[in-house]
Amino acid sequence: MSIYKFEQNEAPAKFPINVKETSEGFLLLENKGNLPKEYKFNPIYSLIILFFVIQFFIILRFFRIWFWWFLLIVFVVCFLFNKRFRNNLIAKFRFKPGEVLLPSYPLRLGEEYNLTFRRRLRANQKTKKAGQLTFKIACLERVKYTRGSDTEVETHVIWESQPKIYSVPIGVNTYSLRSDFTIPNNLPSSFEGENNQIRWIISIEQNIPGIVEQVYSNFVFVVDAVVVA
Amino acid sequence: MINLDLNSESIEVGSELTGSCIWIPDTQEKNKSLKLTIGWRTEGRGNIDKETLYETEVNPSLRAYFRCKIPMSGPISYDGQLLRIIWEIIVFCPGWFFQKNMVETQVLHIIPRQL
Repeated sequence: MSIYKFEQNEAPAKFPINVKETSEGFLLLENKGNLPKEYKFNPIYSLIILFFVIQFFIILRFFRIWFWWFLLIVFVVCFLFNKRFRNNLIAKFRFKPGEVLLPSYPLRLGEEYNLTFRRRLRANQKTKKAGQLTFKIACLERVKYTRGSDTEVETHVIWESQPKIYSVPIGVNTYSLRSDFTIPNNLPSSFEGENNQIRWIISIEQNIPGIVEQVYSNFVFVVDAVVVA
Repeated sequence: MINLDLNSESIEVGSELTGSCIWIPDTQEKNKSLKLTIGWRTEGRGNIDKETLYETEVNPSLRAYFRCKIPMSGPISYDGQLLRIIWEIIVFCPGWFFQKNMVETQVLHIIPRQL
């Protein structure tokens, strides 16, 4: 079993997820589309990107063949040597975004909840071998600070639950898990400052041999400053 | 001399902080007035975040009463490894270019609401 370290993975979603209320409960969808404030339209970034796109076409015009070979080599090297990049790319093509269902939302300190996680494979694909899901929740501090002209981000895990392991059967198109968990009452509630945050995260590691290995679905959820005795 | 009186130093989110402040100035400072603010700020590795929720004026020798509702969303007071969230009442003398000459600070302890 691999130990998932939040510090090493940027994915512990950088912002709280939008939540929809459905007949089944409160639905948290994996990060997609709802960009945080810092990534929204910025005219300076747009101009820089436009500059690179123009450069790309200029290079393409004069060094057509060599440039494509270079791009292909870069892509293959990234694909072969960066496991996370490779896994995420495969997951994007093979899976639909993960979903978490919670009975109530926002969550409260000291309260017990049951959670359902599910994820569907695209295009009627099915699992070929038995897989494994590892579920855990964590509370972490995240700070953003300026060093010279760079902006650095640092995280620290305040608390994380013991990982719970669930199996994925062979021949299913949708795999899921149901789990109970309690939010400890001696921990801080969620906090979203511009530069400082306290975030609660649900993390589900998915290892399905023959389809994908070590893919994480992360959901940032909100814990209110309310303690249930 | 400044005297700050609070209903409690430990306050639940969503409840009201009430209190009063009296300032007895020295003879030279009789024409000045002070400002009292209630708010939170962060301390630690990250860039500072802060918010002021309440502001009032404290005139010399007059007791100033204040009443401030702590939002349900907090944040609660927190002391972590990378980050600290500090709630405080600050009484200061406004100077030039937003300069604050601190006179008195009182740290508050904001806690989650107990059900």
